[in-house]
Amino acid sequence: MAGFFGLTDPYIWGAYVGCILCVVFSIVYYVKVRNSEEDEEDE
Amino acid sequence: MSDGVSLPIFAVMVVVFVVLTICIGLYGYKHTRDNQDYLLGRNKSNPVIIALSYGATFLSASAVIGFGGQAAVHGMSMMWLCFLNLFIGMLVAFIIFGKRTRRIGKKLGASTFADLLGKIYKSKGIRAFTAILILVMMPIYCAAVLKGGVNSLAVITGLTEYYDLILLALAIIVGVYVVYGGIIAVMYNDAFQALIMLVGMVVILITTYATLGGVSGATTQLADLWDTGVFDKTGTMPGFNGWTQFSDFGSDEWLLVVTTFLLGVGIGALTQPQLVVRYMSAKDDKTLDKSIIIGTVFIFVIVGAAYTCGSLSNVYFFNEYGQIAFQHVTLGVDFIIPTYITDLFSEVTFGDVFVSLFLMSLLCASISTISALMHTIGAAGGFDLFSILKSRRENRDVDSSSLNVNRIFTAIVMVLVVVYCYFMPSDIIAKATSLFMGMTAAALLPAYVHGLYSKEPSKKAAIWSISVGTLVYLFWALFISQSMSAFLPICKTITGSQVLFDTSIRFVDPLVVALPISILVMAVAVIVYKKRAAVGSSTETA
Repeated sequence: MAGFFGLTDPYIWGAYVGCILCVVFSIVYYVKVRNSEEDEEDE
Repeated sequence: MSDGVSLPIFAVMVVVFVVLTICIGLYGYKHTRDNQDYLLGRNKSNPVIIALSYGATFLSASAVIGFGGQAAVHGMSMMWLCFLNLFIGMLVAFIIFGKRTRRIGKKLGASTFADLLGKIYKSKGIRAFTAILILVMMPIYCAAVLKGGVNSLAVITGLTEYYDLILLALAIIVGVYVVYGGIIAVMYNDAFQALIMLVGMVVILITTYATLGGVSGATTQLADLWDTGVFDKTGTMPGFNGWTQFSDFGSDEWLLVVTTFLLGVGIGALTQPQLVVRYMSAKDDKTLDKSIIIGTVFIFVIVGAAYTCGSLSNVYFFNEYGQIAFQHVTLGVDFIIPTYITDLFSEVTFGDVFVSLFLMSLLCASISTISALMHTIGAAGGFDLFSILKSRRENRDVDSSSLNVNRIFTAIVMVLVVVYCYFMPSDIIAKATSLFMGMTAAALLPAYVHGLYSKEPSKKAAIWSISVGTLVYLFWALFISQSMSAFLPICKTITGSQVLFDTSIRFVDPLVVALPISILVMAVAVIVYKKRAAVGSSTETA
């Protein structure tokens, strides 16, 4: 089974991946909010 | 084992810290003109302050020492709590609950969580119950955090004989700036302390990996440690499969980790009165939206580092002493992380500075949470209950606008929390956190969700849900759950044994039983009262 930085149990590395996805989502969300704010200012 | 922290270096850091804390406290004091400023400080909070304050309040010494220590015992499955903290505690909390809470709170003129629920349901009873729940349960959590901070401070500095003095000093520092500076001082200090925590935890994570042979190297060593079975496995719970494997489904280990630590704390974050106030302090929705990114990164770094380092400490202790963490640190689970940090940095250049930095982080983690809890407890008594009494006395709906009542109440509660510290059992930081979060979620979460998202919130359904959720949680906590019954051994007094059933059920957290029942009762009651109202109105029309 493929490892994730030495972790082989998907129930463990899945937690790390889940955390990273949450952080990525928050970055995308922030960019979206900022863009919508800039669009409002342009209008 | 090292001799502990270098006291001169730590003393310099403490002096700088105290001076800055006092300055922020004074800033808060100057900007606290009325009760609204004291309770919410609505126009003084920008996204960075809200995010860091939310994060620092959410993550106390409990997250670092308590749950970090539990990660040393239960392994990296605790990282699911980090995921739940991020997903539920940040994303769901801010996007689904936060914005709506802020809007409704502003519309109704609510200043606290109890006030918000009371105004949504137009019920003084619900407001009083929520305030009393906070007054009764929150001091347990607050005392656990205070005790955790003081324990670590005393052990690392080697000043255990000054335990009482450290406890008193910490309580006075927090008490003074909460009492005088209100929410503005609390939130700005939280943000300042969050930055110290961030730096401290990043240094610890990097040093851990550097010492143990890199990310993959350290993790592989941890996996091998269990697989090769070179140590005495006595003391590990049935179902535990090592620190890098999840436990067997349904085993004692699984029940404890999943129901108490993961769900109890993961879900409970949504109904934390001290966190709800953070949403209500935002100027607008965009402020909350912008807070999410900072809060998420902050929580990921702090919690992820604590749980990962906690688990990896087993490799370190085994390499150094031939024993795993909980066997080497005999003082208890809550002392594993402080002992690990002190030991780890004793071999590193400028280790003294880093240990002092960690200790400062710990101090900040404790203080930021205690200050938020004290502010919330003070508001529950000095604002919510006092307003209800005032309304009854004056025979009209009125909110207390007295700053002094809040301040006096907060000071009294601080004294009670210090006293309570002396009666608490040991190794309870993580469990006390779970108890408070679980209790508030079981009692209030369905009513909170219904209140936020229903066009016509049903007061009677909310009362049913709150009452049943509370009773089921209390019964399970006092008579069934082994870890929770330690707080108030009523079952032992009555029956002679700590819990009613000596089976695996004793590892099931009260939340996983009480919350579904509370939700079910809310759903059934909403339908029943809606039908009754429909029948009533059709009869009137006829």
